Amino acid sequence: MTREQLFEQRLTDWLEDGPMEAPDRALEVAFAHARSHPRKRTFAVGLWRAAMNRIHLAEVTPGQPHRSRLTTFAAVAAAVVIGVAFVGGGALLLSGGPAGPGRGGPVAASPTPIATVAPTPSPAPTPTPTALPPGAVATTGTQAACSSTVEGPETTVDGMSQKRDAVRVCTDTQSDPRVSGTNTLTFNYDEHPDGTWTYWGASRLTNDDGSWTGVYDGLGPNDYTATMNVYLKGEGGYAGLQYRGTAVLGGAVTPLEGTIEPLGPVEVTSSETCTEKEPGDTREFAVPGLDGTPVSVSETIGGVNICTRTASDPRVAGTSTVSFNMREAADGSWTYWGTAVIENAGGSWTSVWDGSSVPGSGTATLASRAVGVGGYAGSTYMQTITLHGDSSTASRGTIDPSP
Amino acid sequence: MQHDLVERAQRGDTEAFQALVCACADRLYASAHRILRDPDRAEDALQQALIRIWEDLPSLRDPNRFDAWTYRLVVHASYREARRERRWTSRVREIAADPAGDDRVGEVIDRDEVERVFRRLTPEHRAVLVLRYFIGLPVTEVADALGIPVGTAGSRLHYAVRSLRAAFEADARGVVAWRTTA
Repeated sequence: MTREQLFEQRLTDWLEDGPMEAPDRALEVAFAHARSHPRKRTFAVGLWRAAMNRIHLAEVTPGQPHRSRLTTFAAVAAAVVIGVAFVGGGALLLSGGPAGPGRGGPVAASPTPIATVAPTPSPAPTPTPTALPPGAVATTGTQAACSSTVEGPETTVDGMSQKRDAVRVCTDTQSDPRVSGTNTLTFNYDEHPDGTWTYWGASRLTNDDGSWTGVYDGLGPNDYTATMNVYLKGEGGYAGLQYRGTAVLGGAVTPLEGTIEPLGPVEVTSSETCTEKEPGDTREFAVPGLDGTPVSVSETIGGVNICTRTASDPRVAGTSTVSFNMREAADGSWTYWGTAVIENAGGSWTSVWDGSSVPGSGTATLASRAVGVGGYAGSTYMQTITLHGDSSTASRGTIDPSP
Repeated sequence: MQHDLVERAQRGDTEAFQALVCACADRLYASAHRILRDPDRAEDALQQALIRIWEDLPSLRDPNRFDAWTYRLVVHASYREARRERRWTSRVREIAADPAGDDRVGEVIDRDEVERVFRRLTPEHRAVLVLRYFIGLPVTEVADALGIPVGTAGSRLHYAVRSLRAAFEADARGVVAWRTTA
């Protein structure tokens, strides 16, 4: 046996010397927690919470199939609607910084045994390739030679890394020289409990003929690779144009791919996950049922959720704060309404939304209208969300840019 | 089998969750104990990790990665425990050397020195040692479990091993000297 092998054997023996059996108490606490925090909830608020954390719509609580199913719709619907508001990002960089992506939502993590659920981002939907619209030009290239001008604070919250407000200066070289030049990017990232990382920030690309400003946002399966969606709006010599594309983090050179097109509406798909900040006030009361007999229904007012949002357009990705209300009708259907604020590195959106479940269909439909604030002032974002019984959600919308 | 249990637990099946926990709790607790070197804190870390498994399981996209994912959760719970209160780091055992003892005295001193050096390592360095030499994961899987680049896992492992090796060797010389003079 070599010296190295002897050392490793000695180390292994030393590590093996110790308890190997988990205390029953820890298991019992976890089991009790699971029983007391089921993913199927009977009450509206509980279902809302569950839905916000990706609980399955199709699940029906035995004995109360009608209530529980519809309530779940409501919850999910509200979650999606809320998704209406929020953050996005869009440019990219990478060099010198910690390998990893990030975005600004709070990384929840409770030090207490009654853990809260941290926002878990879904993969950012990427735009579906389509034929180029009139006037659009495809372009490809790379981003390289990045240098860090501001390192920005990196903190660890409950063991999860967070970077804020770093600044990188990179050189973009694309097949279309209009989007080549010096790119100054703000850089943020969050590590999430499931091992994924989100990255987001603002971008300003300049060259001799004009500039582009916008945002980027993306999700990575680990801390060294991520695909970012990028949106930039032309200024100066590029006024009236927009650039939409992707950038793939993961090496010293970042591949870029995108389209330059006339400034105009952009279709967007999005998804989000949420954690509950305020459950709201719930009351139950009796109303006459369809056959005239009293039926117990419920109403929740003043709930608030914090959501992490991914979107095919980084302007509406980021973090959203959603205020929700919901009310059950005598026929078992639910109506939902509220407001939401989406925030990201480029600005924010404020929205109002409402919708209802469709009894017997297993779906709920919600609509929202958001107006841009700050960097998005003058723009609007309309969104329709359909909720399906298998817990899947389809959210489509359109961003109409300011002139 | 485990794949099925994970999917059921993701849908809210508490019995499936219990079966998963029963299957993984011992290895998670043993890992936490090796990182924290404290049974009470290891129990707290295990409890946090198990609750987190229930809460976050729906976010696990690939059920086949359940084992690696649970290591990640218990390691991060151990980080939190280690940082929650550092007083224990100075609670180094004082073992009185008994010149009248047999060879076991040298062994105790040896192990105590290793313990002392191990406790000086950061939780991040201890974690890679535990996953590599106690759990037996290759470095690539250590990196995957911890969600860090392979290069980072390798450098942490190199540093930790170097520190411990020095302790083993220095202590071995010390023991010999002590024995010689006793």
